[in-house]
This record gives sequence, C-alpha cells and structure tokens, in this order.
Amino acid sequence: MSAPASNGLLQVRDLTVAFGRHAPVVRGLDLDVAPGQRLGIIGESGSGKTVTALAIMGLLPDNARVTGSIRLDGQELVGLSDRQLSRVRGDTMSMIFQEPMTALDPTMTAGRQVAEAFRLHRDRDAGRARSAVLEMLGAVGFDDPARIADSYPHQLSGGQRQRVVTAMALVNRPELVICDEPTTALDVTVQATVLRVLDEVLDAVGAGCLFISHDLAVVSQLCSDVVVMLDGEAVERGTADRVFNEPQHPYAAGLVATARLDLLEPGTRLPTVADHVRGAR
Amino acid sequence: MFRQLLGRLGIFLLSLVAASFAIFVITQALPGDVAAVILGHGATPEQLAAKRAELGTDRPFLVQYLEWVTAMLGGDFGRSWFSHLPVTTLMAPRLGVTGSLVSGGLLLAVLIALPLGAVAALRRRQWPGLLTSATAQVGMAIPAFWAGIILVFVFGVLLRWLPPNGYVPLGRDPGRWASHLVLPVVTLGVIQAAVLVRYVRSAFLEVLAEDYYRTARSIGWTKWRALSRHGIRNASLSLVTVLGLQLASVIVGAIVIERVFVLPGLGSLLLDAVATNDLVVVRGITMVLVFAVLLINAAVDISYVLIDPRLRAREAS
Repeated sequence: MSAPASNGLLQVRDLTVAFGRHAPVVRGLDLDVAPGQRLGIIGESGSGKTVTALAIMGLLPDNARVTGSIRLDGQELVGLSDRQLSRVRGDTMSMIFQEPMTALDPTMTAGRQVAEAFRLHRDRDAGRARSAVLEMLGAVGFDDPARIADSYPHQLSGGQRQRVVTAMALVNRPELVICDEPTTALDVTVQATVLRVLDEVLDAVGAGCLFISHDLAVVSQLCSDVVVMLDGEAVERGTADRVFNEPQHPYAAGLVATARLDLLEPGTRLPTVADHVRGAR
Repeated sequence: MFRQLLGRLGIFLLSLVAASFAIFVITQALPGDVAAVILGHGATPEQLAAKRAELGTDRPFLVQYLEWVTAMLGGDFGRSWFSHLPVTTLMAPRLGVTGSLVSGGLLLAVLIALPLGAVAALRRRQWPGLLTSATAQVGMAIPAFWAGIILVFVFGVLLRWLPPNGYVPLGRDPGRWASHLVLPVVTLGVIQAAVLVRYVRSAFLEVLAEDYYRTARSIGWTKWRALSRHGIRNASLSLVTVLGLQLASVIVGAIVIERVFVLPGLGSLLLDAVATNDLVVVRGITMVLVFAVLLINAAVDISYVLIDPRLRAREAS
C-alpha cells in the first residue's frame, strides 16, 4: 500500500478536504500519476472521488478546507489563488465533467466555447483558434466539424456534447486530463463511442489521465492502474489487472464480484458489495 | 417567429385598449365638476350647463370615450381645458426631459447594479458581499424625493458642484443640459440600482451553481471573468424581465424627481394638471406613459429570442 515513487506528473500527498465544520470527506489521500499514465479512481457515490478531482482543479466551493499537498509538474497547487490556478486550468490540466447536457453554455455556440479555451492559453487570433477548434473537433470523431462548431448545445445530442466537452479539455494538449464519470450520464451505446474517442485523443495528445468512475469495467478498459476509494480513503491500489483479478480489500472484492456477473452460476442470488464488506468496515 | 411576433403585437394592442379604457373610467370618476372649478363659486346653473356642453362632459360616457380614442389615433390629444393649448403642444418639449431622465436613470441603475450584484454573489460569505447586500437593503428603503433633497443639499448647495435645480434644453447648451441632469439621473439611478442589485445577485447566484460556469472555470477563466463572460448573458434573461417591470416604477420615480429638481418634464405637467383638474391633459400624459411602458415590455419579450438561441429554435420548428 505504499505510494509509488514521486517525480511524476501529478503528486498528491496527504490530501484532506472538509466542508465547513463537518468531518473531512477526503482523508489523507496519496495519488501519483506519471506522464502519460492513466490512473482510475473507483468508489461509490460519496466516497470522495469527485471532491478529490475538484480539489486538484481548484474548483471546490469557498467553504472547502483543503490541506496536504497537490503538485503538478512540481508546482504546488494547494494555497494558490484563483487567478494563479486559472493559468494552470485548461492549460496543463483540464477536466471533463459528468453532465454533458448542462456543461456547456446554452447561449454560445459549441465552437466558440472550445475556441475560448484555446484563445485563453495559446493564441488570441480568432482565425488560428478556429482552425485549432475544427482540428480538435475532427479528432474527437466529428465528420463535420464546421457544422458542430456553429451549433448551439441544444442542437447537439448528449454524446455529441460530451465529445465537444472532450475537445474543450484537450484542445490545448494538456499534460493531465481529469475525467469525472464522463460516460455515466450517456446511453450505453453512446458510452462506447465516447470512451473510444477519449482513449484515442488521450493517446494522440500523450496526456496523463485521472479517470473517476464507479464502473470497474469502464476503468479497466481505459486505465493501467487503479485506486479504490471508500469513505474518503484509498483502501486499495495497484495495476488494473491485479485489482481486477486478485482484489485484496473486501470492498474491492465486492466491487469486482458485482462487475463480474458473467462468472455467476445461473440461479444464484446476485452479489452486492455489502456481502463482501459486512464486518470488514 | 413571425407568428409569435404577431401574437405579441396582439397582446400589446389589447393591453393598450384596456389601459385607455381604465384611464378614461378613472379620470371620469374623479370627484369634482370641471365646469364648477373653471367658473368658480358664483356660477349659475345655466352657466354651468353651458360650460359642460362646451367641454363635452354632459354627453354619454361611451361617446366621450370613443371620441377621445379616435382623436388620439389621429394624433389629436385634445386641448387643455384651462390654457386651451393642444395637449400635444404642451407635451412635446417635455418628452425629451422625461425621456432623458428615465433612460439615464435606468442605464445608470444597470451600470451600478451589475458589478455590485456580482460582488454580492461572488463574495456573499465575505464582508464585501454582505456589505453590498445590506447597503442595497437600506437603499431600497430610501424614498427618491428624500435622496434627491439630500443630493441637492450636498452637491448643489454646500459644495456648489452642480446646479441644484432647473433645466437647459440640449439644443441651447449641451454642457449645461448635462450638468442639470446629473443630480436627477443619479438620484433616480441609485435608488433603482438598490432594487436591481438584489435581482442581479440572485440571477448571478443561479449562474454560479450552473455546470457551464464550472466548465468555464475549468478551461481557465477566473471566477470573475467566467461570470462576466458566461453569466451576464444567461442572467440577462431574467434581468430584462425585471427591468421591463421596473420601468413603471422608474417613471413614477421620475415624476417625483422632476418636482424635486424643478424639471419641466411630463411629470411636473401631469402633477400641475391633476392639481387643476385638467382631465384632458392628465389623460393624454398617462396614455403616453402607459404606451411607453407597454411598448418596452413588448420589446423585452421579443429580446428573449435574441438572448436565448433555444427560443429561436423552438420558433423555427
């Protein structure tokens, strides 16, 4: 359970997050992502996955208290002002959110929103931004980037919007992309497309990735390594193969069991995570 | 799009008819016989009857109403019962005064309320936000005429920076025109801004909770710039509605403020006409003001389509 060696892209040490006077929702978390590495964070709702992601991005609400250390490329992010963090956000690190239906500004075309990210960090010139946007929209699998760029969000489907959000996050070729359940809100058939696109563009850009999900199957498709979170703490970590085949912690074993329904004898009761965790917590 | 525009025009015309009828009923029901006021206490019943016939107040109600409306459609608002001048002649030079006062006041209110509303929303848990909200509450409680008197006293009398009252037409001297309008516009604008800040704050608070605001921050906008970039347009959907509704209270405020600053606007003309029971003038001015309010509110409804692309799409289908 010791944290892997540092000198990576992202290095989180002893991260603790609490809101107001409540008990911390993330406790003493360590994470490491090497350049180009993809780390999955698995856990149920309320286990602190999203709060961890938002803490790294510096997007937590004002009443959040963050302690510990978050280093990106060696730069300490904890304690930076909103202005200082805004130079990093969208440039070296970016984020893809869970809800594609509401993640885009309804009054602005998709292309302008992707262009904003580019113009903020790369090149203010509108023409060059436009060509970068069209190229990126092509990279996330649109055959007609110009039409998508000129569409308003309400004219696009959920899967299309999530690919636009992906384009926004990747247009500046960040080193770290944080994905917070990017496919959870999508139809199963669309999920596969979005995941494949994500896989391809992460490879193309060479970005490291922190992939948050409650879905072990999705994580094992995309990530080489996995951290299992329970109640704000990391309870297990290792390669995706190892955690998937030989889970050590009862909770991780429970997650695996519920994900591997193909191994069940027909007629037996479906397993739940609680079966495995009972008595272990 | 075209059909909705027609529908909105229909609502506008119907409201105009309803308003004109209400105005006529109310002014007609006002106590006091105009003939008696004009002729004084010594008038004989015969003289009173003759005067009523001259003014037309002895004819049936509906006949009077329809005559009034048809004349107005032809641009004839009647003649004052006292000065015998056409109402349009009385109103014409005053329209500009009230117009600049109302539009200047609204503009100033928006310019003050947008940044303060942003502070109140983004710093709502720190003292700048709390102070802004509290100041807005106090501002709302201040009557416009009192604020006007205080401003006149400080800037017009004590410091002598600005003329305390009076008016110079724009055509005669633009500089002095502006200097005479500063205090009235500030009075009107600040008081209206106090009301507006609360709406701006709650509209911005909604934006802050939106996912697209978080997305905007995730690509590198600071809190403030994400709000100005993505918040104002989204918030303006509810804010233009509030502004349209506020226009009526701005006009009422302007009437009071014209009195305080001795401005020769529609408001002072209206108050004078009310004082002398000059119903023709009262009706004419009220109609013009109602027309302006209804027109702006129709424009507000149409502006939704310009602000929100989703409404455009719904109309195309």
